Amino acid sequence: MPAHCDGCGRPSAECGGCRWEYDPPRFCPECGLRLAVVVTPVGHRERCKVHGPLPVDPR
Amino acid sequence: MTDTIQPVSIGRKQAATAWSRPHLSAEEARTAIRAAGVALLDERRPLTSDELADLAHVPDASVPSLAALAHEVRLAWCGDTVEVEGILSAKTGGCPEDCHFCSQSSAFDTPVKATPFLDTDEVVAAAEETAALGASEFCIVLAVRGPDERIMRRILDLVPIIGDRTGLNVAVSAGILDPDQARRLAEGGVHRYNHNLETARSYFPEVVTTHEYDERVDTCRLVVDNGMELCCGVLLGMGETVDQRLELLDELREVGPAEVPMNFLKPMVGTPFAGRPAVEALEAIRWIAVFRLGLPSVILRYAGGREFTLGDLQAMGMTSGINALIIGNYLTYLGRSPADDLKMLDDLRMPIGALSPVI
Ligand code: SF4
Ligand SMILES: [Zn+2]
Ligand SMILES: [Zn+2]
Repeated sequence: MPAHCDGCGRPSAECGGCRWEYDPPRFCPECGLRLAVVVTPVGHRERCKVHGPLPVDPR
Repeated sequence: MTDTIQPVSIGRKQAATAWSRPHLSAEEARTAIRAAGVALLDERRPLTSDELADLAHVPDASVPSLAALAHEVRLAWCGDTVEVEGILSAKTGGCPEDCHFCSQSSAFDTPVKATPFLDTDEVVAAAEETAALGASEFCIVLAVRGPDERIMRRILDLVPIIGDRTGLNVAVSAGILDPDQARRLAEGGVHRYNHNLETARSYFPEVVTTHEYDERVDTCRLVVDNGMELCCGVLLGMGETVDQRLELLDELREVGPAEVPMNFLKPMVGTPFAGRPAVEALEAIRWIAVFRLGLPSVILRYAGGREFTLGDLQAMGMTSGINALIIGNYLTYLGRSPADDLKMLDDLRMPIGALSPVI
């Protein structure tokens, strides 16, 4: 179970996942920091400045 | 106990669109729709503002008839081709403007982190993705008030590279332009320049306080005067009234865009409009139809918020006046799968191709 919600960055104990199906992850699931997100026409990728790139999200 | 069917209220609460006059009766609506058909299909004349106001006030039950007319008008004025476009936010967030709907404004605490201008390779790769989907247009979008000299140079470098590598028409959206910038972009091969009016002049101060409506209109004029196609979009559902939607339509008819992207508000966390209700699906269809009937020859594009607003009714928009769409993801959030959109167009037997404004 990730430590943080990737939709709002709060600890998982406080948010069980609030990300809308059409939103990319916005917060690092490990540390809760804001992610640098690049959205392209057919994909998106995320990077945490501490934890590096997130695994590719199938959405 | 009664044997008549009683309506049961289910689903989302009606978004509070403020109507300043009552809806037409069913008979009045039929008359207004018939008269609009004669004007647009037989006489081939644009509708007056009063005629459009009547059409905007047909009762809910008449919206499908209104949509059917809008579809017929689109076919008669633009043909059956659908223009497909991909868009890329090449510089995201950190914008000094305060558009109250936007998650990229630095005025609001939103989940969007500012990221610098993407490398040329990344932009070209996104254009190639777009071309592979059968699109004819690719728009580079930058979250800026207007382009500085460094951004101008990057754009002018990118446009010919993308054109050569992909064969796509390249559009740009980089905010407010000065006359010299508009000239350089046109000379540099920018096919279409996007600059949205978003809302009515009378509602604009509720939406943006960091620049004036006339600055937007001026940029739109510069685009047209320099020979680029003007893409000038709207964003419905920010709390504007019905009269203000009609005012916006009049304003658009004045600036004369080649393309009008129709966005519906997708409320963004952290922005002042985060709590606004969604535009109801049938309302969205009504306004797509009214905008088509007011702008019969324009490229009317499905843009942001359609997944949020229309859900399963997306095919209905395609038969209510829409003749273009943004495929795949938007600037900061995702769209439905390109395969679903391509299948929808195939099911509707609508061919994909490039569109140009009717002269
Ligand atoms: S100018 Fe564009 S990027 Fe900047 S806040 Fe307004 S809508 Fe957002
Ligand atoms: Zn959350
Ligand atoms: Zn992290």
